[in-house]
Amino acid sequence: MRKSNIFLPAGRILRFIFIGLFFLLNLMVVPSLAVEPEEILCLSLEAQFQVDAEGIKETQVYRQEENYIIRAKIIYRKPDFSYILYLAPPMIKGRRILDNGKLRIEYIPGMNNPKHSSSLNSSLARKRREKSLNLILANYTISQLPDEDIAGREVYVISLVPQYPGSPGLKRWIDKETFLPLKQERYNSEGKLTFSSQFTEIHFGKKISEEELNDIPESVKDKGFLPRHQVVSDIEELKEISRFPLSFPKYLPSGYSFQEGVLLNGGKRVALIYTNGLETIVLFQGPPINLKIQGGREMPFGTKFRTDKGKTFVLIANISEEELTKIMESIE
Amino acid sequence: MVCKKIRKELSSYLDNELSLNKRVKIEKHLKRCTNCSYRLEQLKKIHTLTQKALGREPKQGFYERLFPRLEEGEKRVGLKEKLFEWRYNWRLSLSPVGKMAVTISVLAIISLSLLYIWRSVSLPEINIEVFQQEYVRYNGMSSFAEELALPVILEIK
Repeated sequence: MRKSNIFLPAGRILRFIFIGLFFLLNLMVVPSLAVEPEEILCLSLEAQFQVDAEGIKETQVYRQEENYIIRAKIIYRKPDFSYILYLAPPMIKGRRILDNGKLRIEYIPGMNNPKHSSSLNSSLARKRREKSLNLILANYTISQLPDEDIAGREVYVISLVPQYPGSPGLKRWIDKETFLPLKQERYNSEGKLTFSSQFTEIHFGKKISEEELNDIPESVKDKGFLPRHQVVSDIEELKEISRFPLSFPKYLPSGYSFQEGVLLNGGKRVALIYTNGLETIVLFQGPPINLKIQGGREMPFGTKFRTDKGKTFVLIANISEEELTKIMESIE
Repeated sequence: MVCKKIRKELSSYLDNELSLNKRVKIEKHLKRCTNCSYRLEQLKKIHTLTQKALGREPKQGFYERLFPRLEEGEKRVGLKEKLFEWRYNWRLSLSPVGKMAVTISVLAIISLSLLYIWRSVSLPEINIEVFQQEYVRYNGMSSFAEELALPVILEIK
């Protein structure tokens, strides 16, 4: 007992030194562990598949004629379940989108015309995400802005500024804890805000009951769904399997590259898809058609078409009119 | 061109003022040219009528003056007369095989034109929204897409 009493002060001193060293080490190490904006962005792409969360999200669509708000309840459940229930505007209220990791089903209860497509967590979608991220790293300057608060949660603010003029821009507010994007602003090629999405409320870790998720009518469930269209990532393979000689644009805006080709209607028509990581340019081509055009609605993208060389071309992208014309004129 | 020359000589031919060589040439031509034969018939009628009416030979050069007048009159012929003449010529000038060939060619041209018009009119009609929906679908696969707005963007008016 006595002995220990003698060494007690020395032990305390040593303990203080160790604690001091520990904090000092932490102070040196923590800054080097700070997450880079590129990494935050990358983590945000997969975050929705790694959370249990429920919230209300609003998207404001900015148009020249009139702005409008879309509101929906969103549920995410690990590993790859998501559910969207539209609440407003009235014309789309009640519509649902369900993604069960295999399929994405858009439906309206009571209506028997669901739309089936591949899940956002399908291998094809994952490949697209990977390619998009690589292109974004090449075509955009990614920077981190001062942290903010969204829906009561601390967020990183990541800005994507295009390196090439004429490309759209993006700003993302990413939850610090889960990396789920809680807010996003999208800008067109002129830097004008076109979309703004934000969770007005969000609750993490909430277990959603099976009952709540099983309100899918039998009529819209997967009944041996087969993808409608064949997707080909290799341009040479696409040329080989296409039913007709394909025409390609000689001109593309800077930063864009071929993503994939899609054989529509059993190969009767082909869609060539180009991307810069954020925006997509789609060129459809096939036998001549009479294109029925309904005017009067302002679209968030431009459309150009022409019938030439025994084919009808339809070009759609959210880029300037001038760029669309240049691409269309360069098709050979 | 041959007809024009022959027609100029027709009045002299009627008056027996031509050499034998020329007469043979004109008669050869008249055998195969219905137009000139028709013209000769007209001249003959005029010749007979004038002889009957006047009871004497016309003055020298009468036919030379008459001929340009007749030509002028021909220019004033109406569409109806022209069509009649065309039908008359058509009946007489072509062999049955030639007529058939011309008929088939005309029918073929008309049929091909109609087919071309029909094809251009009957091209399949596709609404531009079909392509816009596909575009929206491809964009919807992007992680940066507006997950709420894109699926309904074409429906909100």
